[in-house]
Amino acid sequence: MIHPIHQLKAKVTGQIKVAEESFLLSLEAPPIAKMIRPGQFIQIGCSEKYDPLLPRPFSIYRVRQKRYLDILYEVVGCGTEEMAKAKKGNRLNIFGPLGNTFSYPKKRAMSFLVGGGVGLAPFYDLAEALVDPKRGKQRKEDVKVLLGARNRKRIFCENDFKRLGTPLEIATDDGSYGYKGFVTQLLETLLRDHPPPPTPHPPLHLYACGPKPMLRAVAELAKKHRIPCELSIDAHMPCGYGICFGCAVRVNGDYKLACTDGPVFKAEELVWE
Amino acid sequence: MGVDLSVRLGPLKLKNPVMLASGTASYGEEISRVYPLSRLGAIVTKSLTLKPRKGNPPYRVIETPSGMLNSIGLQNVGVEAFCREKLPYLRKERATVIVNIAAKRIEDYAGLAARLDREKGIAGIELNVSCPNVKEGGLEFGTSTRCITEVVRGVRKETRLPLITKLSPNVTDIVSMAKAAMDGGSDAVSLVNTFLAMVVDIRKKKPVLSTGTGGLSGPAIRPVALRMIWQVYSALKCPIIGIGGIMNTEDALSFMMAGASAIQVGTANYVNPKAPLEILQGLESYAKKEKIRRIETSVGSLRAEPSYG
Repeated sequence: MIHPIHQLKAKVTGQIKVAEESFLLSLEAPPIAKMIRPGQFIQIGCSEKYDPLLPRPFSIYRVRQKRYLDILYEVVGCGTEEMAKAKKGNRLNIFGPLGNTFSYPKKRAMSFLVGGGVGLAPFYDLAEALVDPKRGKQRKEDVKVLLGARNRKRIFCENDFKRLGTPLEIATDDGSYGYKGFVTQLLETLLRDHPPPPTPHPPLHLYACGPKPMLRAVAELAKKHRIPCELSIDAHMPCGYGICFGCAVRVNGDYKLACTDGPVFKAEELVWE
Repeated sequence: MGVDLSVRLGPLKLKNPVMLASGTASYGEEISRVYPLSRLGAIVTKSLTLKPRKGNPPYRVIETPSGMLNSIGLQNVGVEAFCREKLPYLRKERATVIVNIAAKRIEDYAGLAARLDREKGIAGIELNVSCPNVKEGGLEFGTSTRCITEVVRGVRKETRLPLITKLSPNVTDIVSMAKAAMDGGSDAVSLVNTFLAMVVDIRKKKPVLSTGTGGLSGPAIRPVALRMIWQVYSALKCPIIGIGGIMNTEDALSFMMAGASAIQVGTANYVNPKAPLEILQGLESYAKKEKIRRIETSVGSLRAEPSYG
């Protein structure tokens, strides 16, 4: 079954600054909110005047009441600069749901969700799904979220995870909050306490999203510790739905499209340059 | 009173003038998740080659002011897989299908046309003689009048299907290229493909695209494309399909007034997937408002002296 893509002028229902250069944008988009699954993304036209021209892909931080989509993003260029100006009541051209989804462990497992900066974006939605008795069927204490940030001014959404009840550990590059060092170093220390099976621990699953060097480091750790690992990648993505062939990523001996074959890839599939 | 939106391009009759440009609609499946393909005048499928092609390494695309640069490298499934796996779906969707083909040798263009001629459900063939992103020692067909004529002639022998030649704008005299295509037996010309261009990453001191250069598309090229259509129409009055940064109804109308019997929507599909439908509805409303019974009467209706270009 091929799902339809919904395109609409979504009403902005709010926008808050959650940290330095980082925003949470809320959109009213019932047809997309009803269908979208953890890992999928939407395209957002950052300005009504098509300037910049191309839409930008965003994963979903949270779906509320099957009606609202919360988008966590960082201002990194002209598109997100425009988006940050959007006010309540404005309308943005959006379409989705697009792309593939994260998978859930089939049995009880420990999941580490590793987000580098706004790479945290898809992991509230995923954590919520993993602990949902109807979907991921995991225990709250087994779903651990790791957030890496440059410094304490770049930390966001801590309370959301507290409320959800899943443990959150934070690493800052300068040590101004939580663990001092990269989130991948924090992950490494956690993995050391978690030897591969057979052990009394439930098996591990890794999910990661963030800058490329971070993803690569996570992929290497996953390989070393023989842990299944899914990475959500970012790419220059003009269309987002498989028509332009612009977002090619290298996989073993071939190219795949980040937008339709991804954005979630098994770590072992990807070829790093 | 209904408006007659149908248009004619030589032997090819389309139910309306709005088409999807080759390379911006893949083979249709994705677009049909947004709206039924049968609504449009036609879909022009992504360039096919005899053998499948993997395409160019990343980066393949970069945004530019009011446009984008691409260097996909003719990634495609190859003509056999297209006939086997893609065409049945398009037939089932009742889409009007124009198949775009690309090659490096005249024999290969001819072979592609002969293969497609055996299939049901193809309304026409568009010849890509102008891809700027594939250079492997092959001829640059699109920039030589003699080559264009020979390619078209070679294909013409192999098929009775309507033939459209998609021209490169990277030439000094677009009119002579269009004339060369028509002389070879083309039924219409598509104007224009992308403009050869580049973007540099000054930090890395390297071009952004893996192939160095790419093809510029989007609203940035629209005025230049429009000028070329006007020149060709003024000189030749041949059937023209207008392409180049068309985003909305106003753009489509300007291309039609300048001489395009039909238009192709390309980059706009990335920005606003429903753009082709909105343009179609806009053309109908325009015709009703202006009391135009047949949209075709708008083609070449520009009130201006013929171009001196």
